[in-house]
Amino acid sequence: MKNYISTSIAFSSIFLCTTSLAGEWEDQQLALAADMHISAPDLSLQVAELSPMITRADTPVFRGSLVENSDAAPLFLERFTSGEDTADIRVALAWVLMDFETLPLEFVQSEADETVRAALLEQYKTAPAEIAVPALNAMLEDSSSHVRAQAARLAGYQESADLNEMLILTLSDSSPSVRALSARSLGWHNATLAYTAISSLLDDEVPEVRLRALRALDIIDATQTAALPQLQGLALDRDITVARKANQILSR
Amino acid sequence: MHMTKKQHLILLSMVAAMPLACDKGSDTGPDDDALYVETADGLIYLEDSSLGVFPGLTATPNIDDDDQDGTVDWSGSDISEDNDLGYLWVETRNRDIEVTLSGDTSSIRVWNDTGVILGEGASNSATISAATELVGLMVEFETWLNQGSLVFTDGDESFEVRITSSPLILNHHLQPTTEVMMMKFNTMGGNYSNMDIIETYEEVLGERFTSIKASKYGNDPWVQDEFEFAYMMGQDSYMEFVIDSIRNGQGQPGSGLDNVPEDMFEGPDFAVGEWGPARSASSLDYGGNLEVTPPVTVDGVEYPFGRVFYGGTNSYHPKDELMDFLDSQQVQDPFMIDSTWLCVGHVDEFISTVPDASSEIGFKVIVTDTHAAWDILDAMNPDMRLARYGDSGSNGHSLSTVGDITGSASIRALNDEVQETVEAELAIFMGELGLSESDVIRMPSLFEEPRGCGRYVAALIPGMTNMIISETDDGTPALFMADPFMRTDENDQSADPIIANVREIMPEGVETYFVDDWYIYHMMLGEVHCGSNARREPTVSTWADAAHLIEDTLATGAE
Repeated sequence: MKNYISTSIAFSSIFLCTTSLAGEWEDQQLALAADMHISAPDLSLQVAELSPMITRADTPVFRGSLVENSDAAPLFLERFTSGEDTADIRVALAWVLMDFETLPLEFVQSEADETVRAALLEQYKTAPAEIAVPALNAMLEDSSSHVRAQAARLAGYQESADLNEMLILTLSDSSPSVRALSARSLGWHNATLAYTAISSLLDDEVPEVRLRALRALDIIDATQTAALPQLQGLALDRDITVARKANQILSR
Repeated sequence: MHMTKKQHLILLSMVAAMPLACDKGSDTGPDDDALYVETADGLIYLEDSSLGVFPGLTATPNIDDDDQDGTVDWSGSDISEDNDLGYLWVETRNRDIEVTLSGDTSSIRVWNDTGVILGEGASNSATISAATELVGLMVEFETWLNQGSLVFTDGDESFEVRITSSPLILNHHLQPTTEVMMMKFNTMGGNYSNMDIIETYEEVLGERFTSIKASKYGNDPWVQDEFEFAYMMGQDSYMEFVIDSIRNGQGQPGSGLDNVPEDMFEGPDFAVGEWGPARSASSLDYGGNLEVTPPVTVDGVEYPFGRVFYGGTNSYHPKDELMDFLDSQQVQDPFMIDSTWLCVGHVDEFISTVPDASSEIGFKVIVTDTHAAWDILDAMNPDMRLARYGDSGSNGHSLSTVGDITGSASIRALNDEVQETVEAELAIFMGELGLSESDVIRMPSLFEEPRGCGRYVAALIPGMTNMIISETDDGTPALFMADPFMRTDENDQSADPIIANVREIMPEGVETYFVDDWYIYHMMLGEVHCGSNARREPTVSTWADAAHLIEDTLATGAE
């Protein structure tokens, strides 16, 4: 735990020191929010007091006309940065903010809470490639495996080969989730150059990694995958999902 | 304690039915001087004690609060207001009759008109004094599936009458609805109204529909998840029951919908129970993850009340307390399929059943099918604008046209993975129920990974499998499901190719209602079934039809 805390503090400090542009943007927004407390006190109060609804997955989300009112964006940013809400509410606030505009990468990186930081990455699922690709490449090197896994997952949604070099590297990440989702994204990208590297995950100790690797290989080259020598063994895998996929490939 | 007028009337009605009862028990009936016992099913005596074999006399466990004194009736000593008893008459032939009780004796009471004579609070043997008239006895059970044996002895001769309390039976989709309910949202402004669904329910179901003011319950819309309806029955008794999920309003006891079962249902002939520790619920513990198939026969074994199923895996599943309880009821032999790949994690998101009069088994399985959706979408004009899907953020999917969906390699890849999983779980489901592909209808469906769900999926096209099955006033099956909005003009359902397809593939004779659940339900990761609940009435007269599924603990010595 001590290591985790000290790492987090160091991480935040480094990025806070190098985020002049993001800091400028944030400062401007917060100044706007301060002005709005005087010019639009009702709106300020509504944002401050807005309560989330709960999705069926028990996730808080903000709904209603207020979250669609771009005039309120600086006030939502102010609430987000105040840190007065719990992490799950801040995640919901992050989603409101990214609906107004794509947030600067440096702002995302400067977020200390890994859960909130990971949530902020969601904007790169649909952002233009010129914004999303460099951002996801950067976040694949995040200190948090939770954030790296999120970046590896979202990389699959960006149909850009410029992510594959980093995704091949993260196939050897210490986190099984990162390895699994990197394999998945490379499969979605049909990254033939990654075939050998993904094959090495077929004997990974974690079932989800073996499954995602097998699926990815099957997408990239179904014929070659059906002839893989490991397939017979995987058909008897102790994990039923892996065995099922291997048998499906063998039965073709 | 004296027998009440109501209880006397029940016993008298049995006497009036005696000739018929004699016919049911035997061609000849007991000798003129022979001891016999009568239940609602007929006569039991030395030469023909067939009606006394397991389960024998049945009744609901006395777990409601008929006298409304705030405590479960079993815990009280007054049964004058009770209607959850089993009734039998003894013809003593004016001789003293010995009667003994064995089995779950601490959970059974046998009353006569003076008080408890056998079981809890008394000894396990008693003498019924010689009488010139029939002697009435009443049997009370503490809980589900209590099993006992009453042996009546007249001199050297004796016979047995088994007594058994009802199991808890969960409702399935083929039972007629007595009440459908949904929270009513019409005061939040903007898009946050569900009046389209409410009005459709009111129009089709009339007085069988109940809306509940959402603001009274923290604007918690997930009425399916908070509780599950069930029932118990005996020869002379019937009781409804709510399995009150430990969801507790998605928060803590008292929040959201937590108090609805107590506020609306708990009372005489309606009991409430909860399994598992409060404040420890996962989504797998919610009502949407607890479903029941229609009646099936699997490898020659009949399940007249269907089979319970829920979602989970060996390591992540509903709380043991609930699973163990459902297992203990035996008649609906629960099984599990994997739903943990879904963000919400409920079986009702990808599998359901609908009535089908043309089918030998009486129903069809509905399962989500992404290939079926691609078949439809790929045939559409990719430039067609999709009014609802184009919004970003919390109101839509940022997919403005059909081509935005069909042209997305990631959406295709994700949905191929999803369908692999669906097929695997469907195979398990069909195996458990002894079904074949001809029993399955494939619902066009697509999934996505919504915000906050990570690698877990929820419906991209509003989930139509997640539907409520009811019936019109004339008994026509009525299916209420989400409007898929796969069209430009959201007001023109006739232009929606998915609606056209679903109407075509549903069983003949059912009516389909596509309702607008987009903002409050779909975009909040639920659909029509998630936001509704239904009380239903039994379609069989006795749970004894399922007695072959219950272990006879007195015979096996497992008591």
